[in-house]
Amino acid sequence: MIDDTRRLNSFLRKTRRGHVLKITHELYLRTDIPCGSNACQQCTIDESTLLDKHMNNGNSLVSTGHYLLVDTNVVLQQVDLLEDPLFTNVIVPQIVLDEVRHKSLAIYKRIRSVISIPERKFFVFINEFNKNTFVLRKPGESPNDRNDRAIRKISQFYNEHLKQQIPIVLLTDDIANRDLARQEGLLAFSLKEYVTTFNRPELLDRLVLKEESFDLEKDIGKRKEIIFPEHVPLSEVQRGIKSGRYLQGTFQASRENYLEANVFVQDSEKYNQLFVQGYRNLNRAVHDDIVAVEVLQEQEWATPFSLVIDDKDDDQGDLVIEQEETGLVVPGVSSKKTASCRIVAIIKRNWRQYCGILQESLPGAKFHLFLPHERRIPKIRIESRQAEELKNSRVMVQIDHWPRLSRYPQGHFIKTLGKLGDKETENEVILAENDILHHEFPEAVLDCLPKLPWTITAEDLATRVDLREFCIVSIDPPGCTDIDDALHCRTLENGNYECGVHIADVTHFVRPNTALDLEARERGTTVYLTDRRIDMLPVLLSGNLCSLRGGEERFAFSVRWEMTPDAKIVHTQFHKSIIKSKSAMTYEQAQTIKDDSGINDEIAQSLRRLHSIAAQLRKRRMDKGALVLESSEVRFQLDTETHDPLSVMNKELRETNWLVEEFMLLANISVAEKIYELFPDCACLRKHPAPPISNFDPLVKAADTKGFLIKANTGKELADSLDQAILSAHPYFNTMLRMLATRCMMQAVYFCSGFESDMKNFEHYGLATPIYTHFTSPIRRYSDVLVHRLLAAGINADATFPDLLNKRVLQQICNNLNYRHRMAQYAARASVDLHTHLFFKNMHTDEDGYVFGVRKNALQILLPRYGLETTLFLRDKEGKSVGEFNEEEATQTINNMTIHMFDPVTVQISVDTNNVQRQRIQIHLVKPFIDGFSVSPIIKNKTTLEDIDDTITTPVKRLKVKSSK
Amino acid sequence: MDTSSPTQKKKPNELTSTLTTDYISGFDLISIEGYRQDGRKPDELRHFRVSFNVVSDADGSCYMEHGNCKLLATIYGPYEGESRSNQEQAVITCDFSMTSYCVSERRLRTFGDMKSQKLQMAIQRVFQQAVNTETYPKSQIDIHLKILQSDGNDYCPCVNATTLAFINAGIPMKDFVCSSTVGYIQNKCIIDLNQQEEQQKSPQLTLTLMPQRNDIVALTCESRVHHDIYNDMLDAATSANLQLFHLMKQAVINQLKTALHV
Repeated sequence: MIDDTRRLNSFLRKTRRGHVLKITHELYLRTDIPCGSNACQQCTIDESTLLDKHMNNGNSLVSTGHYLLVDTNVVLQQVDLLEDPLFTNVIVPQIVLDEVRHKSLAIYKRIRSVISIPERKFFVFINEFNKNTFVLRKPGESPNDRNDRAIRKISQFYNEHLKQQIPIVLLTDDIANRDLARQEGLLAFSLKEYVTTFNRPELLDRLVLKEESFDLEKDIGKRKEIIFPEHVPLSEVQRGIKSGRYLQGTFQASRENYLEANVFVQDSEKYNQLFVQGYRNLNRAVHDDIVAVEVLQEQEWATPFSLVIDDKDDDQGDLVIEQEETGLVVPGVSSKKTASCRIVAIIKRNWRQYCGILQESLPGAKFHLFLPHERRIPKIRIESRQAEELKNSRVMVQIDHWPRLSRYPQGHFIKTLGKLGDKETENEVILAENDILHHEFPEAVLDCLPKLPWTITAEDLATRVDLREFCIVSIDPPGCTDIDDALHCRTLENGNYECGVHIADVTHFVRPNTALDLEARERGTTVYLTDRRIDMLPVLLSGNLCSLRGGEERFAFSVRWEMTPDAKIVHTQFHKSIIKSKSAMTYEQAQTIKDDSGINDEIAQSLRRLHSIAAQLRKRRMDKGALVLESSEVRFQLDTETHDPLSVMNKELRETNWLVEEFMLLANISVAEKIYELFPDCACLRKHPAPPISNFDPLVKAADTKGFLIKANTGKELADSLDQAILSAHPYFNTMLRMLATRCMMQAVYFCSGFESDMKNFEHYGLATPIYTHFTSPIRRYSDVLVHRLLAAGINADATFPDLLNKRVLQQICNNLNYRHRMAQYAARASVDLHTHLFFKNMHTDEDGYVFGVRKNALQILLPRYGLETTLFLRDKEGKSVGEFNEEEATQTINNMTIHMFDPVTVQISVDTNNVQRQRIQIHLVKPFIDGFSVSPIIKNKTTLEDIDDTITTPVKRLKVKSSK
Repeated sequence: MDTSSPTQKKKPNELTSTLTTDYISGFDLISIEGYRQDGRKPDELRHFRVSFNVVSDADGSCYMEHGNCKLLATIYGPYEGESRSNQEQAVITCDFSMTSYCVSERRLRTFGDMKSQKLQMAIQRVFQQAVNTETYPKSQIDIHLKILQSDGNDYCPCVNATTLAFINAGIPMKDFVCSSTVGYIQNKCIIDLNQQEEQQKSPQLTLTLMPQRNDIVALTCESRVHHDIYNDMLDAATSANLQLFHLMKQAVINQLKTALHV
């Protein structure tokens, strides 16, 4: 109920044109806002009444049950602690939420997610609209002081309202506010005072240290006096950016050398990328931050180190130490100087939680150094009382701040992930480091699922085309449970073929804006790790109701083409359907049936027709300049119980693989054309931009060593010249060239067609098609769900919803999907790496490989059998570098033995366990034998591949291991 | 001149950034707890206050405050019309003007612009239907509307104030005429939008209703709305008009009571 009193909030605002406006907002004060306590007799009690009548959390400071009232600074800084289940019965004032949201959206989201769990009993008290708690800003009072007063007023209000039955404890880290509250007779503590009395040291570890509270003198280890330059204030940065003195960009630390970084500049015509070198120039920027930089004078420009720096601790080579100590940049040879800059301010920190281990320190020390798993993050100093227990575990740490006088950033401990070296723990690290959402699906999401047993209703039959009698089959890798595509092909009376692609109708179950939809949207994609799959949709949908299993009636979204026998499309139609797959085959089975002329049933005929059409489609696509690129794809055979890798095999490609692929491509292209025609402004498409010609330099250079000329002006030229580059004596050469070509490519991305003005930019370079989208895997990709909805709305097969045509929202979703896809790829790659390590852990073997890259101090060796690329450091046993590098011809000469690019070599593989944080595969050269550098070969135990037959393979579907650029 | 270039070039960057802040951070018009920016719930009207007989020369007059909107409506007539007086029913004219200080940025032109003319026309049509014009053949009734302070939509308060002024003038009408806006924001219908809410790019609908006869007099919706939502919006607008009707009726009764010293 609105009280009669109405306030007017007036303020002055300056418009863009410089006019000053007076703006007046109304504020209605209410008397019907509940206090949320079950102990209250006046307010109405409903399901939003969360606060208990009786409770006790065992705090000795306030021994009786009490409610906690949190101040803004507590939420902003100590949200990690508030997330601990210890904190219940908390009153979060509206004003605090507003302030938090204003200051940090990330923290706002986190506190909101805590509030949304009813068991946590976090109650949002609407104080600003409440007549009893509204406070007017006094003349001369700062907004901050006014807000503090408002929070104290809430405490007062609750005391009166609950008639002193339940004490209210105000938690604030603002000393002034705490003291004022005490003067007014309220209970108020700082969070530290409150938490200390619980006698739980791990809670104290999670407390964020404040800048004033740490002691510079008591530093660990050898302390070097590094005093960073002060950051420029933000107002000046803005002015500087406007005047062109500073540039804004994203900070990307170097993986190889922690004293180097690049800044990718926005909005500058002169520079795309600037180089940063040296401690003082880096000036406390952390990987991924948005920074403001100042370009250095040309004579101060530096040269990047082209050494691959081994990441053994404290063994960075003499130069780096020197560089570190002097804080100076390496004066480069003038020809190799790169445009360099120094960081003047951090515009936005993009700190997240980092996984890693604690570095060993003196017993009893209070402060410890944390070594992050991600090499690009600096070590972090944390305070911990449980260093002994954490010695051999992976922990998670958050950075809090980086003071000027400290060499390392300050952080605090969050949680432990498990024992070091455990596969489970390492998997957790992979998931956490790549920001993969892998929590269990919450209740709200599971509530959106259909109830079993699921049946098809008469209404469904009426709205869908019945294709249950069609001979539809699905072809997938063995062990695949999320089958999202099926095919058919039949002859029509006029002699033409009718081919159909049937895709699982996920959007029938995933309705827009439900909890299920939002969860899937956030996850973006299913993530395939070697021994585990993290689903985008709950397993009831992904493995059952949406999966087009053989012999079961399922809903599908169908694309049907009428085609002439020479694969010209006469007519395309889209509709929703009901299908009953005749058979769910593996690639191998399908291949056998197709090839066996003895079998002549409907399935076999259908497969042969599909094959002939696909072959023609494929040829046509190749003629247009589609690229066949290689990436080393491996599959592990895993132990059925321990999930430890037993052997590695390269993925075999059969005709049926590309048969399915061709039809999926065709469906995707047809759908892309259709949705673009229906919704030119808000179609969700996928583009793959043509790479700039300079990207191909490494490829051209590598091919040149063998005397081949690679032209890359167009996709067609590239495809043709790759086809011609064949060495008959060296069959793997062409494959390696194609792998190199893969690394020259750009990332394919999703985008909203309304934001791309020119249709030329829609092009998919790799597939050589002017328009493309993803339609065929809605079970494991959210983009396909979006496309399904657009197409369904466009052909009147489904209801519309408000956000369907909102192109801004669509673009935001696309951005998230691009991010999630990238992260999923990284995670899959990391998982393969992990399993490769496990695989080689107890193995000491010789393998054949090829030289895949020649660096200043190392050779990149590719082992085709394992799809593994490793680095062979050219160092003798004392760590002195051997070999003479010839940059022009890309060769290394060791003891008069010259090694060229693409040369076959034999290497010995073992796992280096010296560094527990990052166990790495170590290789030694066996052949060609070089005295004093190579090791002698092992004869026995060369392979284990043939020994194992009866193991199952994991459902790794289309796992691609592309190597990063 | 140079300073404008970075802002222009920002656009492509905006698309490629992975920050999702934009559409989440655009402050909520309705908080998760269900309150609007000004403390109302979605189905609550703004503050409503009326006083009658504020212009003693006029036949009927009414000063109305609805939220931050303040306006004056006066009725002159019915009087013997000039040129069009041979008609069988009264002619209604409307004159709408704003004060130069009624919006936050001072207006230079206070009447006769496109917007005012449209509004005049709309009001004239509404009341041509609502007033029993056949009671006054060969005569004319003038409506004068003056906005003193504007708070978003001007049309709705003008209709409501004119109704009350007509009643004050004692001119027979078929029914009260009430008008109200409805917006569809964050998947909720919210009634009686204020200026801040109106500036959002979200579907809006204006409904003018004769509540006791349940007749729609006018309905405008200038955005694209799906028909499922449209029905919800229409329901919300009707209930808003009913709330408004009770307030207006109460105001009339109170005025009568004071006039008759009851």
